[in-house]
Amino acid sequence: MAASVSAQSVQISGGADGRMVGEDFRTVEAVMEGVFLNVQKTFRDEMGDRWPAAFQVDWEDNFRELLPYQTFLQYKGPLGRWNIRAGHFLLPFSLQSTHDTERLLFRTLEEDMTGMRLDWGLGSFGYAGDLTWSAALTSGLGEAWPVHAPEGLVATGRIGYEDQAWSGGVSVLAGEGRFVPDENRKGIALRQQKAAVDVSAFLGPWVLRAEGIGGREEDRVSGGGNLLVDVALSRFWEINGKAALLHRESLRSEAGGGLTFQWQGFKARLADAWIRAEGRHFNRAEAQIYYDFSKSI
Amino acid sequence: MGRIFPGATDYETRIEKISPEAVAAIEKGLGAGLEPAEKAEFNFYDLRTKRDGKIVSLGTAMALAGNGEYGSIEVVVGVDASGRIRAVYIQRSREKGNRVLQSEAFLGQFIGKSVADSLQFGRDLKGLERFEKSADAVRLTIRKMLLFHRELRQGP
Repeated sequence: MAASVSAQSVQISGGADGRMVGEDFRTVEAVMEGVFLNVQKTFRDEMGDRWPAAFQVDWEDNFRELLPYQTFLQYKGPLGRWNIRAGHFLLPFSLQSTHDTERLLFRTLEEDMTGMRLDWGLGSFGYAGDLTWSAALTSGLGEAWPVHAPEGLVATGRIGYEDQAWSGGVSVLAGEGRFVPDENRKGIALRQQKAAVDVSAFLGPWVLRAEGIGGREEDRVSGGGNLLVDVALSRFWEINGKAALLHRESLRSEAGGGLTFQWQGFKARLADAWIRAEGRHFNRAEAQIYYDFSKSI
Repeated sequence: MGRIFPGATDYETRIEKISPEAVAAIEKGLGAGLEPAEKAEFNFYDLRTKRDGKIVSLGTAMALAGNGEYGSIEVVVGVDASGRIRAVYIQRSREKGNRVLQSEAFLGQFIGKSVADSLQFGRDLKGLERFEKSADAVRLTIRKMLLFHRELRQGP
């Protein structure tokens, strides 16, 4: 008898991320950083969940851009021990493999160091005991909609370990793609080969996360390191910190601290960071109000 | 999931809506109110395997975040068809007493318990000195899941 496939209910989630950003205590700008909507549905066969599908769009920068986020169709093997995925997804590279900082004030380094967080293509991931693995072959289109022909080919992969006390992994990224610097989503074609090491330690109220990324892009060497610290003071309050040092075309350093308040789906964050970039030294202060929800229909 | 039911080869997620009557019954059994986010729906994961070409149900896994002193304590339990706990573990916690909270000596006490048990420290469970609030959050979260299972899967 042919295996039948049926669908579960649809999961809808979404949220909004509004911010006030000030520089050197002189200029202040209010920005709707992002409003996002995510729709997920899992199709099942006679044994259970088999085909998870997700579609997420983010309206970025005061609704100026409508960009795809994680949007994919996945085949899930027995108990999820192996999976194959096609679509637009977070690349399995460095710390973002276990810690997505898209809506946080202190971010991981991937975008600064490679210019790319998500890409369109094929991926596979799974686990064996406490070991995890992930690999992807993607088109180099980055965060743009796939309306153009692929401009390159990017290979990424990570082997990791994960338990209740700590997680860590080594990962590689190589290829050519339209790597997108933060301020220019049109991007530039860039050939690069990078490797990364990431570690996260869960020490009761303390969570320490660190990553180091290094390698070549075109004909120059680049590298950087990042340390993120979160300390829970209570179930509502948390202190956050970040220290980063990286070199691509020039040296950039950042050190900052912040405070998070969370209640139900609401989060309010304050952060202040001293940044040295392109020979300039400045202060960046941010306040964020964030709300998300999830519901099935 | 394989950790909860080692023989399982697959699972199916079932999202159950919670009626106001079920909320009232769960809150009565709990002796406390549910969080607003817990009153709409609850996820069950039905674990299965195939034996001699037939699909065999092994039990149900549930996951719920309790309110610890330092944030959410994500607890996972597995129950058999009669609602008796087969396995329990803490997936994520930021409590100071994580080592004892995640220990076999503490969590092992819940094995074999069902919704018919009071799950009270000093009666059928031994609490944790110095980490009473964290231990109580785990206890309450497990009790909640057993009540969800009774009301939404077994029928009151």
